[in-house]
Formats: sequence, structure tokens, C-alpha cells
Amino acid sequence: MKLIAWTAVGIATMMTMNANAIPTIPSSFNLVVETDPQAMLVDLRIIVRSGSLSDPENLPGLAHFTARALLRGTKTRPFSDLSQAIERLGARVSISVDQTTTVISASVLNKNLGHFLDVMRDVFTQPAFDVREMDQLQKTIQGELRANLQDSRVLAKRGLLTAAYRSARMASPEGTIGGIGRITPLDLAAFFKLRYVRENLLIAVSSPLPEAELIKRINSKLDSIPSGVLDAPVIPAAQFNGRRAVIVSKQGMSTVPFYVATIGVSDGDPARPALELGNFVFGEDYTSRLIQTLRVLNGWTYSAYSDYEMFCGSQRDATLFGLYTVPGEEFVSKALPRTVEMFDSYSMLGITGAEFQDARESLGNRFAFKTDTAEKRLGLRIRETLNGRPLDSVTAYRDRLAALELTSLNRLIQGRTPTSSLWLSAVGNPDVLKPVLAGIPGVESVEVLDIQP
Amino acid sequence: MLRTFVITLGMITVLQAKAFDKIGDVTLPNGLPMTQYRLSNGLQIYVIKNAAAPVFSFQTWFNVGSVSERLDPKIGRNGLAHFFEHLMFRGTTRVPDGEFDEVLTRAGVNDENATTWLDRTNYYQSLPKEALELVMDLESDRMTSLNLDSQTVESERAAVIGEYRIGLDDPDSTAYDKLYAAAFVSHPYQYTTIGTEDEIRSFTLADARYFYKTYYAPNNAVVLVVGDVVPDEVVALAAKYYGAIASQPIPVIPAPVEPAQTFERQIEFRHGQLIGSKVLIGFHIPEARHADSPSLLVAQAMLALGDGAMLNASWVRTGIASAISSDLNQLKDPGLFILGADLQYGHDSMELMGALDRSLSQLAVGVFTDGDLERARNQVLLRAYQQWSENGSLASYLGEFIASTGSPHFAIDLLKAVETVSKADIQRMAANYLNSTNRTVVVGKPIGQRSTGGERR
Repeated sequence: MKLIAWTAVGIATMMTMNANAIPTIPSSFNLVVETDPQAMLVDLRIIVRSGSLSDPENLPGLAHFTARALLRGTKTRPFSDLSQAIERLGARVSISVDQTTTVISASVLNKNLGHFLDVMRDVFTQPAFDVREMDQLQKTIQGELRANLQDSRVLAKRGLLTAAYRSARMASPEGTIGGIGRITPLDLAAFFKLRYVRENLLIAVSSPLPEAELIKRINSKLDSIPSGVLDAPVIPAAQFNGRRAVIVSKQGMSTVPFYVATIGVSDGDPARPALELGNFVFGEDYTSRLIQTLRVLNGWTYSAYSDYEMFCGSQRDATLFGLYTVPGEEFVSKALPRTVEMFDSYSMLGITGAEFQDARESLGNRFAFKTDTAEKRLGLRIRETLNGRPLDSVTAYRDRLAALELTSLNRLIQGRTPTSSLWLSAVGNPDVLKPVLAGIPGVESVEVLDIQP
Repeated sequence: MLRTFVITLGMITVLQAKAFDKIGDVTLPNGLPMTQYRLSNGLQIYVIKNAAAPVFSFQTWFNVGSVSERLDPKIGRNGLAHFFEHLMFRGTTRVPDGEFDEVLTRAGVNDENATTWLDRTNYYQSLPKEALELVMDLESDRMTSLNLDSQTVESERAAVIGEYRIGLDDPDSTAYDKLYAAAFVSHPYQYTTIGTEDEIRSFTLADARYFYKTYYAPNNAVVLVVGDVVPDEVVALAAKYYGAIASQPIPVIPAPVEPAQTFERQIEFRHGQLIGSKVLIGFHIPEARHADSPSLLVAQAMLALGDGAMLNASWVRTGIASAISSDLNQLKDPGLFILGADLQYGHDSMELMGALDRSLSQLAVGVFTDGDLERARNQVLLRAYQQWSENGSLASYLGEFIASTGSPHFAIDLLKAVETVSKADIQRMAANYLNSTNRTVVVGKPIGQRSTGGERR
């Protein structure tokens, strides 16, 4: 397999999409809908505009815990009844949390949407936060947090975020073992009351139903969700102060997960599409410079890619732009310096005319895959609503690409991809990694971090 | 640059009208029509028309994986099928190294990759609909004209070793490999698809050439096209680009039959990246074509799919495990029903196995409701339909069934059969397959934790 990346679904738009994120049919919710007449399932996402940055300082993980707790029973349905009620309908509900949002995602067989929305109304209006259930869930989440750190890539990412933000709420949106352990059912109930309110929710649905019928059903089934205030926390700026490296110590590794990050560009920034074209040349694709040099030419690594969303997902605020690679341990003395050198070169020189032309053609043609399913189109509309990322049609996107000019793009890359200040994060043996990282031009410090779950 | 290869569809349709047979049409459960063709050289083609967006997915499945190489006396090792899969991206006599990816990228390719497994190798890409002929040209070219040289083999060997080592550093991957190694004593499923580092280092240019010449032939391949295409145009293009490739004898060496397991096997390993303990349990199950396959799918959902699953109650809610996993490897030959768990601190594998045995006993004697059964059936359908929601995942879903059963129809019939699985069927699955003598238990522990267990007879 020649896998290089797990890149997030990128930018885009659609051919048939409405121009406005909020439907023309009145709804009492912030609602985006997509229609797919062939769909056998309804996909529902309830986006709470509060994530780990809304956790109190001493309770990291509260947003995550609260969302998970909703599925542990309501005042009318204890856990076993609730899970049976959901799953017998051919539905599944999952939870994800990042720094600014909590997303409750569900899929359900078309024929059962009405009954499923009845159950969801119960979940979102009368959660039980039962003490015994919460105690059990607390232990489960703590076990998951511990198990997550068995993945060395997660460790490397956690190391970088910890260094750049010095905040558990940024580095570990799911929380910490200590934070989760301090959360009480009262904390959960209070967070729920404050954040699970109409103004702080965005409901997104793709289904085969006509838009008007779908909106009518959502309005009628979820009308008892109360009003409140919008949260939408702001992501703080990352701290950069020259080039600095961190190592997460691990023995016995045969590969070295390695991240590099500089300041990023927000999802809705007008410069973002152009910079994404630059990144397509640098590290997004299998034909990009990173993989071609580090893997195809030198055989140092299996994977190498760069992305604007590898650390914090898609966000309204600027986060980090970074790259990832995972060279064999015997290649780190060559691979790590070369990786940073490539980053410097990209930052200083931008891309060539031939690369520019090929990337423009590639992205223009690939755009069809930004909108080929209702789920992707829904994702774009969510980004438009939350992050201000404009929706393009195929034509508009191609026009945008056509309007780009190489010299100004390279100026943009130089200005918006600074490498004088960087964070570098590697996992492995500090005795091996310290001299390698310290030898990279400009690196002022190498710190060994102790990452705890 | 390969753009100049493209000619008009009308010409091809006329030129190649007699080069293929139309085998049949069927309407899939999602309403999409599927048409099956076969070229005179044996290449099978399945086309599913889905005009929802102006794109299509194109997949080529070869009926060769790591089992065949192990059985082939001229290879007799593992890893070449996978290694060779990497080489397929490295250029042909007509298309220089690197250009395959570059041409497809300029054409707008999305999700281009390949995978190798025990019984098959697949290559896939999705493209805007205008690129159908281009991908036919490139894929047929690399089926027959790959340019294999020592330099390419050596540079790709390093990437394969890098991939192997990522797996080595991953405790989940390690546990999975150890489960298969212990569960099978005769059948080549016991060996990993990627091979060992020594095996990867041992392959020569001559090995790669032999493998290519022996196994990459139209009569050992299936092409699946799903998307905004016209079936008759697809097959006409296929006849044009693949029609001249000769069929050839493919070695058919039956795998040794795995003897029935008569006692529980237990394996323990230690891994530097493990923080807590991990358990994987594999039960032998029949081949994918077996009539019990739908019931096994529902039994898997009963046990391990969703919050309402039995093992969520007996493993997670009791605090023994923080997470459970399950995998039903229904393969060409008898495979494995796999259950897994990450243990919580203070709990051990014996406790987990005791809880499992209690759940399996309940399943065997029918201590579950019709509602539980309905939940499980609907969870199976939900998961299947999620895979049917995109061109690429639909093609992969059907391709996997073609590889394991010889036909995509089995996948379609399976979904109908799932709806009729009864309580008695589930009890029979538990009694016949999910018993302790038929299972292998792998326990992974962090380095430094005291050893327990061993092989239990």
C-alpha cells in the first residue's frame, strides 16, 4: 500500500448546493441540510459550539464527558433501554470533540428517522446523568485516554501541541485522566444546561427526504431544546519563539514519528485556497515533494505529508500548519534535517512554474470529489457556517485557480509559512534524537517532555 | 504526458463489439443497476451506473495474495505479493517511473492506492468521468508492460521495510499477526501478508518478474467500475485496452486444509508501546461462501457491535475493559471471528475470558430477546449501507466478496439473508463456532508486567 496520509476532507463546494448555509424554509434551529434521493441512510450531525476550550481550567475533558454522558441514559430511559432503542432502529451514534466543537454524529435507516428523532429529543432534553452510570463512564474514558497513548503518532502530536500551546485543553481535547476524574454529575448537568442550547447548536442533516419535510420534522421533534447563548470559543495563538524541539521518550521503537509545525492559516482566510495549492505541491499528495524526496528517492520513510488541519482539524481561527513523517530509526540523522530543509526551501522559494501549472490542473479536476456525496457537501456547508469558508461552485473554484499568479502565490507562501519559528516533535530514544534535533540549523533548544494521559 | 492517448468512445464501440460477452444485469438494493461482462481473455468486468455526481471509481482486483506466494514452490515465502504491489506504481515500458501518478493526479484522481491481503490484491482510484479512457489505458498498460529493474526494486524495498516497521511498532498490528500465527498451523493464513524483514530483504528482481508473469493476467483479474459511466462504453473501452492481453494458465495450488482445533491455544507477548494489556480472541469460522455467513454476521453484532452489544455489558460496563473490537474475517478458505479488548488497570485476561464465556453461554442457550436480535440485524444492515454510500466503498465491498466467494451476488444475497437470521441460527453459531476449544487467545502486555498463562490444553 502506498498510503501517505489521512488527510481531512478538504475544501470545496458543489454543483447543486444552495448559496446559503441556512435553508430558505424557516427553522427555529441553525440548520443545514443536504438531499440525496438515493441514500439508504439519514446522517445527522448535532454540532455543539463548545469543545475543550470551554472546559473549566481544572476540568479538562468536561465537554467530551458531557457528550458521552448523554448516551448513558435519560430520565425516561436507562442506559440499556436507550442503547436498545437507538440500535434497534438501525442507528448508531458517535461522539467527537475538538477544541471548539463537540459533534454528536448519527446514522439511521431511512424508514426509522421519525422514531430516532423521538429518542434524540429525549437525549437532548432530559439526560439523566445517573451517578452510577457516570462513575462507570468515567473509568471507561480514563481507560481510553491511557490506551490512546500507546499510539506513538498520537504521542508525537501531543508533544507538539503541548509545546506550542502549554495547555491540556488544546493538546488533549478528550481531556486528561486527572480532569475526567474530578468531574461530577453536577458538573455535567451544569455544562449541559449552559451549552446544549438552541443558539449554541448547529444541526446538519443529509437524507433522501425533501428539504421542506426534513426541516419540518427536525423542528417538530427537537422543539423542546431550550434557548441560551452562543459559546464559540476562540483558539489562542500558538507560542512560537525561534526553533525549538521536543522529544517524547520511548524505547524500543524502530521508527520515529516526527512532526514539524509553524503558524497556520484559518479555514476562512481568503489566502487559504492559494496556500492549499502551494501545499499540494509541497506535501498533500503522493506526487508532492515530501513523499517523493523522503520515500521514493531516499527510502527513509513510508509516509510524509503536510496539511493545515493535522493538529486541530478545521477551525475558524488560525492554528498550525505542519508536516508529518515517520523515518526508520537508522535514517533519522539524514531524514529529520532534510525534512526541515525542505520546509525551509518551500517557505523561502515557494513553488516552480511547472509545479504551479500541474497543481492548478490537478486541483481543478479533483474538485469534483469535494462534492460528490451528500455527506461531503454537508461537511462543506458546516465549514461555511462555522468557519466562514466560502462555498465555491466548480466554475467558481476553477476561476479562483485561474486567477492565481505564480509570483504573488510565492510571496504569499513566503509571508504565511514562516520557518524562523518552528516546533519540532519526535518520539523515540532521546540519546539518539537529541543530537540530531540539536544539529538542525537554528534549533535553540531540545526538551524531553513527559506526556501523561 | 499521456493525454494524447485518449480517443473518442464512438470509435471504440464499433471496433470492439464482439470482444466481450454480457453476462447479466441486476439491480442492487440501493436501486443502482449492475451489469456484468467478460472479455474473451477472461477478464471479468462489473459496471454499476451511478450518475449522482460526474465521477467514477475504478478498481482492479487480482486473484492473488500472500497465500498464493506461500504455496508457490518457486516463491515459498511471504511478502512478495505486497512488495510487488508497490512496484506496480513504478513505471512501464511506455510510461516512465513516476508518470503513472502524475498523469492521474493532473486528471484529478482521488483516493488512489492499492492493498494486498491474504487472498487478493486490489488497485483503486476515483476520477472525474472524463478520465475513464485514460485510466483504462494506464491500468491495462501496467497489467502487461511493467518495467522491472534492480534500481526500482531496491528503492521500493526501503519503503516496504518502512511500512513493515510501522506495523512492528504498533501493538494492535502485532497482536493481530500473532493471533493468525497461532490460530493456523497448516494453512498459509498463519503468515503475515507483508512478510518478515528478512523475507522482504530476500526478494530479487527475478522473483518480481516471475510473480508478475505468473499471476498478473486478465483471466486472474476483475475490474469494477462504479459511477457516472455508461456500461456498454466501459466494456467497449475495456475490450480496446485489455482485449489484446493474452490469458495464461494460472497456478492453482490448493491450500492445506486447516485441521479442526481441539483445544484452546493461548499466546502471550510483550510490546514496548503497550501501556495496559490487550486481548485478542480468534474463533475458527467457515469460508465466506458458507451458508452460515449471514448468521455469523448477526452473531458478531449481537456480541460486539454497538453500545447494546452483549460484550459491552459484560466487558466494558463491568469495568474489565475500556474498549472492545471485533472483526469477522470471512475469507476464501475458513477464516476467523475475532474479538478484542483493551483491559482496564487491575483486571486480567482470565477475568475477561470468564465474562466472555458467560456471554457466549447466554448466546448458546438463547438468553436474549427478539429485540436483541432485531438490534443486531439492523446494525449489520446499517454498517453495510454505510459502505454502499460512496462509489469507492461500494466497489471495495463488492470486490472483497468477489475475491472471497467468486461473485458479488453473494454480497447482495447476504443482506437479504441477514434479515431472516433467527434465534436458533444464533444459538447454533455460538454452539458450533464460539466455543473454547475452537479459539486462540492472544494476550499482549507491557514490558515489565509479570507473566501469566501459557498454552492451555
